[in-house]
This record gives sequence, C-alpha cells and structure tokens, in this order.
Amino acid sequence: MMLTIGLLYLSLFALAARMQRHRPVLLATWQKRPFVAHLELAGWTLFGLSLLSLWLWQDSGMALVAWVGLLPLLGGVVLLGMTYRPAIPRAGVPVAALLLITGLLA
Amino acid sequence: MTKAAARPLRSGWRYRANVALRTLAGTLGAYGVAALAAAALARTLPMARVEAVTIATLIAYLVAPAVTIWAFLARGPWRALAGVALAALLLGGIGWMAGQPA
Amino acid sequence: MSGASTMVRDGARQAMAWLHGWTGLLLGHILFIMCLAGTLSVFKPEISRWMRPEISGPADPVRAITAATSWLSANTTGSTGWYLSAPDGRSNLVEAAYDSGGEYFSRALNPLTGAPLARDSLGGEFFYRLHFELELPYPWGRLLASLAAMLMLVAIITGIIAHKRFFKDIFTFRRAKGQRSWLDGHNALGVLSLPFHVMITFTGLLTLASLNMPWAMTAGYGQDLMALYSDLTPGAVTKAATGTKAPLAPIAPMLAQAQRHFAGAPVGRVYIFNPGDSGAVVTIYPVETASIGYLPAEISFDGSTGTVLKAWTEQRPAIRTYQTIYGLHMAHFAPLLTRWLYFLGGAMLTLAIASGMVLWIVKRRERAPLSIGNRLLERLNVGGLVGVPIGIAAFLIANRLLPLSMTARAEAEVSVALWSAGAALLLGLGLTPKLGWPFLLGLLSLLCVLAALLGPIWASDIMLVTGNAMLLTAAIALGFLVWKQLRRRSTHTPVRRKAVPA
Repeated sequence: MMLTIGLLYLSLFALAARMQRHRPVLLATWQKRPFVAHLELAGWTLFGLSLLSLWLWQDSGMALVAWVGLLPLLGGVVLLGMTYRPAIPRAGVPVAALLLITGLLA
Repeated sequence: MTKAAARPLRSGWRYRANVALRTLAGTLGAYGVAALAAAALARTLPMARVEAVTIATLIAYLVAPAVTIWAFLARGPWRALAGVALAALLLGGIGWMAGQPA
Repeated sequence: MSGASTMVRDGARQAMAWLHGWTGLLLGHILFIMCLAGTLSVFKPEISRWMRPEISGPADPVRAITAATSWLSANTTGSTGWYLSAPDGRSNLVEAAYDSGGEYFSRALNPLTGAPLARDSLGGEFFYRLHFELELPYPWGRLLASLAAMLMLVAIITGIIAHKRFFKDIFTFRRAKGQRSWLDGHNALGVLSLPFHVMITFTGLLTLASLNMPWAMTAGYGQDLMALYSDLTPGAVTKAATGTKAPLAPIAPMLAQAQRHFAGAPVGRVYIFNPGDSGAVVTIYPVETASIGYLPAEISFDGSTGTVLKAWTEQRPAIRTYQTIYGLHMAHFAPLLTRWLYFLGGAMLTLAIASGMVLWIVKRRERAPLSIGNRLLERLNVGGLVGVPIGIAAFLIANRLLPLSMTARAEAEVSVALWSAGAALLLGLGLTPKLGWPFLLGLLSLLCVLAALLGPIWASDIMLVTGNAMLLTAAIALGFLVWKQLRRRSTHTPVRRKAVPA
C-alpha cells in the first residue's frame, strides 16, 4: 500500500513537472538540472511500476480498486496544490519517497 | 485540395449531416450491434446456457462503446453507417442461424 | 491522403464535441441526481445510522434476527415473506421488508426487541433507491437510469476523443479565468478520475442488465423466464404454502449452521417465505463484505422443522464474473479507506457533470449574449444543481423534525425532500442567475448547518459525529463559495475574451 502510494505520487509529480507550464512552480530552483529532460520517461515508468506493485498486495483485485481511487486523490493533491499552495505538492515528494522506501523494506 | 475542404466547417448541411449520421450510427447503431452480438453469442458460446447468456451480456457492453468509437473515427459518415449495418446483419444472421438452444 | 484523413479526424472531433455537449445537456440533470445519490449511497448504512440516532453501539446479528423473527411472528398475519438484513459492523439494526394482512411494510427493527423503531425513516435506502429508480415507478425509473448511464458512456468516450491534449491537460488548472477555469476544472475532474468513471458507469449499466440488455437472455431462453431464473439460482428453494399453520422453528441454530456453511463468514440476509405455514422456507445469505463477488452462497432450511433443504455455493466462473462486476459497483466489500475513495470518485463525477453543465452556459455567454433557450438552461442549472442538494438537506432536517407519532412518517420525509427540491427549482427559474446562485447556495449552506445542529451533535456514536462534521464542512465550503461570488461581483465583471472551442 505504502509502496503503491509512493510510486503513484512520484509518477504524477514527475508527469506534472514535465510540463513547461508547471515546471517553475513545482521544481523551483531545480528546474535547470539535467534530470528534467527525463521526467516524462521517469513519470510513465513510475506509473507502470505503481500498477505492477499491486501484485504485492494481499488481494490484487482489491488493490486495483484502491489504485483507481488513489489516482484522483493524489492527482488532486498535485493539481490543487500547484494552483493554490505549491509548497504542499513539493513537500509531498520526500513524504512519497519515504513511503516508497518504507514500503520496500516492509 | 482547397482550403475550404481542409478546414471543416462547423455549420452547413454537410457538417450537420455528418454529425447526424455518425451520431445515429454511434448511439442507436451501437446499441443495436451490441444487442445482436449478445444474442449471437448467447446462442453460440460453447458453455452451459445460463453461462453463455451471462458472458454474452457482459461482452455486449464492450461491443457498444467499440462501435461508438468506430462510428466517429470511420473515414466518412456513410462508411460508419454501412459498417454498423454490415456488423448488425452478420451478427443477426449468426444468431438467427444458430437458433434458440434447448 | 494524410491531409484528407486528418480532415476526417478533425470533423470527427467536432462531431464528438457536439455530441458530448448535447448528451450532457439532455441528461445532465438526471445524471447529476444519479451520481449525487450514488455517491451518498456509498455510505448508505452510515447515513441510516445518522437518521436513526436512538440505536447506538454495535448489535449482535444472531440475537437481532432472533428478536426480529419473534416480533414478526407475533405481529404479522398471513405474510408471504419477511426479508431481513442482519446488522453487521456498519448497520446496527435489522432492516426488514414484510407484508401483513395484504399490506407491505419496510421498517427498521430494534436489534434488542425486534419492534419497529418509532422514528420511521427510509434512511440511506432513500438515496440508494433514488440512485437508480429516480423516484419513478417501476420500470420507468430504472429504464431512464439505464438510458442516462448509456449516454454517460457515450459522453465519456466522446469527451476523451474530443479532448485535444488528453494527457497534457490533466495537470492544468488556470484559476479565475472564466471559461478557461471551468474547462480546466471540468477536464481535471473528468480525466484524473477517468478509470473510476469508466468502471462505475460500466458496472452500473450491468446491474440493470436484465432491463437494458435483455437480448442475450431472450436469445437463450425466449419467453421462459422461469427456466432462466432457476438456472441462475440453482440454490433457490420454492415451496408453496400448505395452508396448515406451523410455528417457525428456532432460528438461532439455523443461523449457526449457515455460518458454518459460509466458512465462518457472518450471516447477511435472512429471507423467510410463508412464515407461520408448515411450508415455510428460511433462506440465508452471507454478508457481502467478505469478498468482491456478490451472493457467493446460500442455504435454505425447512421453516417448521429447521432441517437443511439445500446448500449452495456459486462456483461457475461466468456467474462469478458477473457477481464480481456487480459487487464492484455496490462496493459492499470495500474496507473503510476504499469506501472513501469511492466517495471521492463519485463526488468528482458529480462535480464533473455539474461543471460541464455550467460550462455549456459560460462558453456561450462569453461568445455572445445568451439566447432565450440558453437563458432558460442557465436558470435550470441554478435550480437543478442546487435544488437537488437542497432537497437532500431538507430530507435530513425532516428526519429530525417530523413528529415520531406521525402516520406514514417515512413517506412524509420523502415528500419534504421532493417538495423542497421543487420549490428550489422554481426559485432558480424565477430569480436572475446572478441572484439565484448565491441565494440558493447560501440557503443550502444554512440547511446543512441546521441538519447538523438539530441532531445530537456530540453523540457518542462516531458515525453521528462524522455525519455532522461532513454537513458542517459542506456548509463552510458552500459559504466560502457564496462569499467569493459576492465579492467577485462587487470588484469586477469578467472580461469578455475570445472564445476557445472545447
């Protein structure tokens, strides 16, 4: 669960940051770093991985249903945060990374 | 190719007829094809009658949107209509020939 | 060649955009009601608990069913059937449908005494029924709901194809920019939650398959619906009443045996056919929370002797598939978190529909002065989109205020809901939208506050507290919306900009 949430959030964040329009808001001082060019690939890879991670759940049918619901929830955080309080989606990145690592270890 | 043809107009009878025919094919046509697919599959799927009926019903719901998408992406409105009619005839024929299972 | 093909594609895109707009226009209000009621139905048992605050704390299913059957035995005559839903972790009383002396009743029964509650109310069942029957007589409500769902599917498909930059626009929301913002919001609501929208529309259509796609059944069975029914439910036992009176055998042992048959899953629903007759049959189903599939097993007992007549577990893959899809729509299986995600998805779909309907007007208003038809639609939007929630809030308030001794109290609650929604619709039609929006939204906000304050607001039952908190949150959000509308009006009027086709 934590792994899936972490992967999905990071993927959505990367996909949003890929766009010229949102890059300054989401990446702030990091927008000139070289990794920016690979955000699209990274985003879709993470997206695929989040789907693959569903196999690790106890009940993968249940997991898929939860994923379908997590998509608008996490996407909503990125979208609304970007528009109104950019600090929130940015702060979500380390949180998601932490979730991802915890999920991997557990 | 003239400029006017390259840029489809949002009014005029050609545009209206195009939209009307595609809409017809994509809504009523799609439902009709789905219904006939359901009937044909219910009679031909190699499983117990009630299971064939159930699976056929499920598949019909996938057929309908597929036909809708096709009706809008087909080359022209007449092709869309003809395609729907052909699919309906084919499926109707299969269902009719198979007959009601005992 | 490729030029011709893109021309066709562009024509198709325009046709799609046109169809997307018109399906939304024709059935938008119906879909809005369905989605709003469906979203609330995710929490049907919780809403029922909020509406019956007298019963708090968990209830034991075996004890509650025993109490219910003994009360029904003593207080009904000539029943053909009692249909009982046992309490589970979410519901804490017995929901019963039964007939007595030729009259039909639908009542919540006290889990300790088995007697109907004084606060006669449909509870969450109102939203559940509204969701697919739309308060219309059978089968018209269900047919209309099916038609709306089918056009919703068309709207989703055409919406995706008409959308020029599908993946690019997911994360775009440009605020305070009139039509742009509405379009961005509508797109984001639709796209972010697209898998949910597609899933819920498909599975919803399937729940009404026997009405909207009966052709496989007709092709396979012709007019022989009895054969279809017995093939579908081979576990069912049908026995005619004998006319000889016989008391119902003790039900607790039957419940215990049923639970063993369900591999430990608690009993969910208990149906008793021809109670009090020697031909009585007791059929028991497990709770639906155990798995995504719906009704995976059933067991029937002879009602007068308590011996097992038939025990059945569904194993046919085709039927299991159908049940899984059905269960996916009902979401009874869902644990708390997943239920909230269903609620979120449903809310987003409801808002996507509402924003689409507003967008229709905003788009046309920024292009040119509105025609008479569109001005009427604009007012219908005000009355419909705010009127329906006003009816719901009035329903909740009626639940608190109507006297308990009233006859046909549950029906009166529904009437209050319908009349309030109707009155709000008329107000929306009568007022200019400039005045109508903030007035009705403000009214709705106040009604939500009232509904929360009328109840036992700091009750010990967590579901009551959550319900009140949700109502107050909605009230605050609506209040904020009204405040923004009023402030914007006083500062500036929106700039008329060049129209951009959707």
